[in-house]
Amino acid sequence: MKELKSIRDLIAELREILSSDKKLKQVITAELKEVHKAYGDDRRTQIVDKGGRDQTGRFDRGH
Amino acid sequence: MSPGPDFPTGAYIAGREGIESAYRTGRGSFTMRAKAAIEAASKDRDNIVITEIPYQVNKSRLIERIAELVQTKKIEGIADVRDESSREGMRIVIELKRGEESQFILNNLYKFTQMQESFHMILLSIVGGQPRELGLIQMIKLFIEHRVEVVRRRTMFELRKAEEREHILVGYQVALDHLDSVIRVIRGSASRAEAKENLFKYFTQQDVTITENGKSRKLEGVKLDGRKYRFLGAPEIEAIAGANALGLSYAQIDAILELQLHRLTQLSIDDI
Repeated sequence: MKELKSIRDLIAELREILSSDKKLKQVITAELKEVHKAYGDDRRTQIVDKGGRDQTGRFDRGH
Repeated sequence: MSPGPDFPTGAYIAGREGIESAYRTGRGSFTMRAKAAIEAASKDRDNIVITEIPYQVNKSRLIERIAELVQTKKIEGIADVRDESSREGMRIVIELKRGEESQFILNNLYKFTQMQESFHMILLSIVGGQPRELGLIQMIKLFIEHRVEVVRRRTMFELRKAEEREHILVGYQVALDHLDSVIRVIRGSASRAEAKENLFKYFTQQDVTITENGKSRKLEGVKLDGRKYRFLGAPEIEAIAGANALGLSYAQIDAILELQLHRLTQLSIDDI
C-alpha cells in the first residue's frame, strides 16, 4: 500500500495549500527563492551619490 | 532591498532621486557614468583609463567622439587615445599631455561624450489587458496576486490528478481483496467489453451471468465495505445504485483489466 499512502499524503498537502493562504504564500516564497538561487547574480552597476565619492573612494565628479 | 537598475556593462548610476521617483510613480530618470580612473603615467603626466561605459554606448563610437573633440579643439590636453581592451575586459586609455589638469579633462569628457548618459525609466505593465505605469510596490503586489493565481490553479490541477490516481489505486485495492471473484468474472465473460460490464455489475451488487465449463451460471454481486475503501463516487455508479453507492467505476475497471499478472506478486501488491 505504498503508493496509495504516498498519494494520500500528497492529496492532503495539496488540499492544505488550497485551503490555507499562509501555506500558499509559503509555496510562492520557496519557489521565488529557487529562482533567486538559480538566476540571481551580483550587481555590476554601482549606485553612487551625485558628485560624491563612490565605495572605492574614487572621486566621482558632478556635472 | 532594491537599490535600482543593474546593467550588464556595469558602470555607475549617479544619484538616487530618479530611481526613487520611478519606483514610487512608475517614471523617473537617472544619469549613468563610465567608470574612469586617473593613473599617473609619469611624474607630470596622467592617463585617464575607462574600464566600464554606460549601457548601450558603443565603444568605437565613443572613441571616435573623443578623437573628434580633440580635433575640433573642444577639449584640449589629450595627446592620444588607445583602445587596449582585451578578453579580460574593457580598457580605453586616454593619454594626457604633460602637466594637464586631469580632473578637469575627465569632467569635460563626461560632459561632451556618452561617458555620461541620461536614462529614463518607465515601469509599464499590462494589467488586466490595460497598459499601466506602476510603482514598485504596486507592481510587486500585482505580481504576488498573479503568482497566487498561478500556484492555486497548478495545485488544483495536481490535486485532481492525484485524486484520479487515488481512485485507480482504490480500484486495485478492491480487485486484490476480491481477486478470486474478479478472475472468475473475467474468465466467465465472452469479451473484454462483457468482462467490463460484468465487473461493474458485480461490484454494484447486481447478479452477473457468467459461463463456466460451458454452462451458464448466476453469480451474486458483492457488497463493498464502505469503511474499508474510500471512494470518489462516479456518475455511472450513482445512476445504477443511487447516491453514495459503492462500486467500481468504469475507469477503475479498465485499469484493473490492464493490470499485468506480475502485479499480483507479494512485492507488487505492497507497492500499490
